[in-house]
Amino acid sequence: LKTYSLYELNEFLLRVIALNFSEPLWVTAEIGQIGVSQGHTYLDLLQKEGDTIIAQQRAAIWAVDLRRIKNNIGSIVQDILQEGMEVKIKARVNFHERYGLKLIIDDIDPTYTIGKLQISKQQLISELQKLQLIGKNAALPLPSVIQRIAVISSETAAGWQDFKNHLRENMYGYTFETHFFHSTMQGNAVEKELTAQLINIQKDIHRFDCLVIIRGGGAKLDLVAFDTPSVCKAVATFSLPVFTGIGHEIDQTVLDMVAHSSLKTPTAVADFIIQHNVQFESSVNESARFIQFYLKNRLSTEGGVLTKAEDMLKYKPAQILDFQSFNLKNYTIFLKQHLQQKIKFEKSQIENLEKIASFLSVESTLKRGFSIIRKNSKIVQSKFELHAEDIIEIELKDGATSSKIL
Amino acid sequence: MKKTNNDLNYETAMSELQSIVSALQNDEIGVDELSEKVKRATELIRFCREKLRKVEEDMEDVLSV
Repeated sequence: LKTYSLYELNEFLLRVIALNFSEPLWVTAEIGQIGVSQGHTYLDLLQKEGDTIIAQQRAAIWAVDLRRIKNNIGSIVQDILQEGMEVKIKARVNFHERYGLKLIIDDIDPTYTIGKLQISKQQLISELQKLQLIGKNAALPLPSVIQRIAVISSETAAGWQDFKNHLRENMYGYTFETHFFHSTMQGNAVEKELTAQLINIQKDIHRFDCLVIIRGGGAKLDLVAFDTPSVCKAVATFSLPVFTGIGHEIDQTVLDMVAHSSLKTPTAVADFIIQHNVQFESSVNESARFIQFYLKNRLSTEGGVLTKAEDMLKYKPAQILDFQSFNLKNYTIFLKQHLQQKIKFEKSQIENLEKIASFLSVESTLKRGFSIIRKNSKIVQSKFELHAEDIIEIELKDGATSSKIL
Repeated sequence: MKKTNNDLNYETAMSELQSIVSALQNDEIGVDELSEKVKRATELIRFCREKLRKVEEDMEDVLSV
């Protein structure tokens, strides 16, 4: 058997590889580590099955190639070239006697990465739906007035300054208390830093009315961190209402979906909060107007009752007195009439009696032919009072005469 | 039952006033008690008006803040 020096072996391998991989080819992989040195980008490409790495390969993009790729597909390249990204790259298989095997990346297909992200985003959405986490934060009641605001943003982000200025310059003179919690808003560190700040805020939860997550503008793939399960679940279950303004126009991130309210920009979030407070103030004003209206009404109603009672008191007692004196007058008339009738009646009664009396008088009886017999001046009323030889006196209408009984 | 003005509040004054008024309307008050009742009713009205005026003033103070 022939013995080769290492160089001879590697030179042989180089020839084998160059012969078999004369043309560049498309490869899909996940980016492991990535770093830049002297303008060149060095990466570890991986393929996993579950959590196990089943293939690994070093790769590089030369500075000149990166510039060309950027010119072709735009700055999205920066977002694709991040740890954890699924990529489809066009590479030449390169073997160097000293540095070994390396894929030299020549082109990148951004649609592959976007598609992958879209799929994992959809998976996350359906998982959150299953867990009933979408709409959970939105169900939290907002305090009547929002004043104490926890903000997660990047110190350097223009969005944070816009937000602060917009709140401060509100035309209603409301004051706000903002508490800043720094987190990177771009790149891989977002997930870790943002969830860490959520935990910090949770500790002081009673100090805040709401949480605002904002950042300035940025490329679409920059938003990937806002589609990660850990961030989305933490926000969905957060006990403060969360408002997002992460500065994007077209696509909604999953974070926006689980937030209480999602606005396009940081200034829109500030407006939202200001308007919320305006609503409260106008409802207070409304109540004040109602109270004034009610009071005026009530006072005039009560006053009306009193006036009515007063009016009643003016005429009713007089009416009662009039009625009573009318009654008295009637009684007087009645008494007078009654008296007259009584007198008349008595008079006629007397007249009747007089008539009867005169009819029954001795004189008229005698005139009608009756006579009175007296014995010893006493009127004789029975034949047994008379005896023979008795002297009697007979009175007739025209005088008296004496007789003797036989 | 006759109450002294110290026990009086708007509500009791109003209900006493109402009962006098309705008794008057229903001719349930005789001449003997008429002047006494009318005097009482007038007193109650004055009391109630005074209360209303006070409430109005208070509310103006409160709402003008």
